Amino acid sequence: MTTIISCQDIYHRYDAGGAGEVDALDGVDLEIDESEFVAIIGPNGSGKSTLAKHMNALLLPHQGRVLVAGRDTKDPDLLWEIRRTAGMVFQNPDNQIVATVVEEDVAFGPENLGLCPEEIKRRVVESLSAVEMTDYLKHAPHQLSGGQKQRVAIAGVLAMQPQVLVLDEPTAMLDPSGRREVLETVKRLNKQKGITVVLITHFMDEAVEADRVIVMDAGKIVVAGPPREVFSQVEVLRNVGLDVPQPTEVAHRLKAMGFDVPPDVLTVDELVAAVCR
Amino acid sequence: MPVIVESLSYVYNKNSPFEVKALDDVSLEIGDNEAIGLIGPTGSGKSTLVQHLNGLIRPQTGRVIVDGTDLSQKKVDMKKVRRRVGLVFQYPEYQLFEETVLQDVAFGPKNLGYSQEEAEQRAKDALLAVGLSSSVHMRSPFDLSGGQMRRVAIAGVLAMGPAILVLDEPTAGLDPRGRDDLLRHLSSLRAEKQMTVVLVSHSMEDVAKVAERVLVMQRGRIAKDGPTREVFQASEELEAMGLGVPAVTRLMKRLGEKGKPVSQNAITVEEAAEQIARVLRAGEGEQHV
Repeated sequence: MTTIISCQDIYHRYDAGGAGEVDALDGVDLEIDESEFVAIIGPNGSGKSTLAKHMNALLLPHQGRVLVAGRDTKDPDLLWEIRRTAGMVFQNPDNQIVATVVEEDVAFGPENLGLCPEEIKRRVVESLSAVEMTDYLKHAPHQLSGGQKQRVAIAGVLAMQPQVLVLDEPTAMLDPSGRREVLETVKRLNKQKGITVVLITHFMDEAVEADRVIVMDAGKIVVAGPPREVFSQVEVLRNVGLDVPQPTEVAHRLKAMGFDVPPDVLTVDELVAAVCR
Repeated sequence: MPVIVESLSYVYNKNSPFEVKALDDVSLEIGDNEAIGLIGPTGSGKSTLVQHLNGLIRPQTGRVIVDGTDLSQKKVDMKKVRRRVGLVFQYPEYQLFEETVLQDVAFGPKNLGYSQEEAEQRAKDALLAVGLSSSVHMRSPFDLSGGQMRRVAIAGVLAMGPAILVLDEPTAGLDPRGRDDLLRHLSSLRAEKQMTVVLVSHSMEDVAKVAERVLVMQRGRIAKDGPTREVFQASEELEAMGLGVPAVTRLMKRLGEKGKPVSQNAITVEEAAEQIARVLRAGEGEQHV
């Protein structure tokens, strides 16, 4: 396994006005492997977004260092290289779409790279096909649903051919089918194209899909591991103000009532199997 | 103080090539002290409907009657209507602007003509009702956490003393604890102030926690209207609309299909655990016989 993102003991301080200085990141060590799917969860203000923004040099650590594909984010000469390697998608699709036609929006990034028109066209088609939006090439973004807009935003990042996709609560504003569309797209890009995914989310059922879940609280990583391991620690998660997936919580309650139910149940199917044993 | 919506239709960009029918012959009645969940896919007309409830949008066809006042009439005291029906938009914390939390929340009642003193008293009560103590009164709203800012914004609407509180996606972007706190405060507000709460949400789990009645919108129409438990029984139908049901509702359905005698109408984690425990206990009993 090759490490693609390496955060080495990083600190980041914000000036919180009257409240003095706040350590948004308070000594974070994190290595992410190529083609890994990592979910980051944590309460509001725990440093999730701050950490994500360090992964493509939108923010720089005040202490420690971040390497993206071996490149130090503090080196200004490597900035564009780093941003091309790790692309970001944010919460609100309306803030990320710049053009009035879908294909032009996706072409914006490659155009700025100064690529030839044929190559730009090829990348636009390929990126839209990767998010299954080829049929909407000529549509205006405002005619799209939230989930479709978010997929166009992802295509815009893909057109830069990144190795890492960092998504900061990409489904917070979407309806259930929009959420599903975006999550399926992200999973497919990870599995089929081997793109490394870092997903920040408040939805525990999304985090369950990752290879590894990182739990943050007060600027630190408090728990990390495969979803099954992390979510079985119901009390730890509760203490930092998080939830577990509903089936896990039901299993946990049954266990507390004295029933022999595995504590690391994650999905409806698994719980049905455990109860029907 | 009921709200009556009668055969309401609304078309955006009427008589242009961009015509969109947002509401299509919607009729419904909202009674006193109800807890309603309004769900539906993006673009189904939820926001257009709720904006009619306090006169932000005037009816094109049909009528909206709030407290006996017909909002389709020309001369309507909109101030009075907006005091009765409070609307909290998505991401309301973006609308905070004052220097202190107290000033921000007192802004609404002051505009309604209350004295400085009365407005501040109302602001203090409203902040308490959303679970914010006096220690935040003099702080800048921008120094608070996301969940706290959201509650300050909701207090700003509460301070105007609405009988109906409509909230559009109030938990979006909040962490699980912030989400649970907010939902709990909404439920107690309803109990203590006899308010009607209308929750517009994409989260079926939130709706299951708060609402007693669920309205489902689809393509500008009310596709379903009934008690929460009943509406969530139709899981296939809701999924076909691009919605869903809480995971525990799916769980109970699957167990039922496997022949387990669980009640199908559990919609919360507590109820589901109860039901399954009962089945497991019965199973143990059999083995011992």
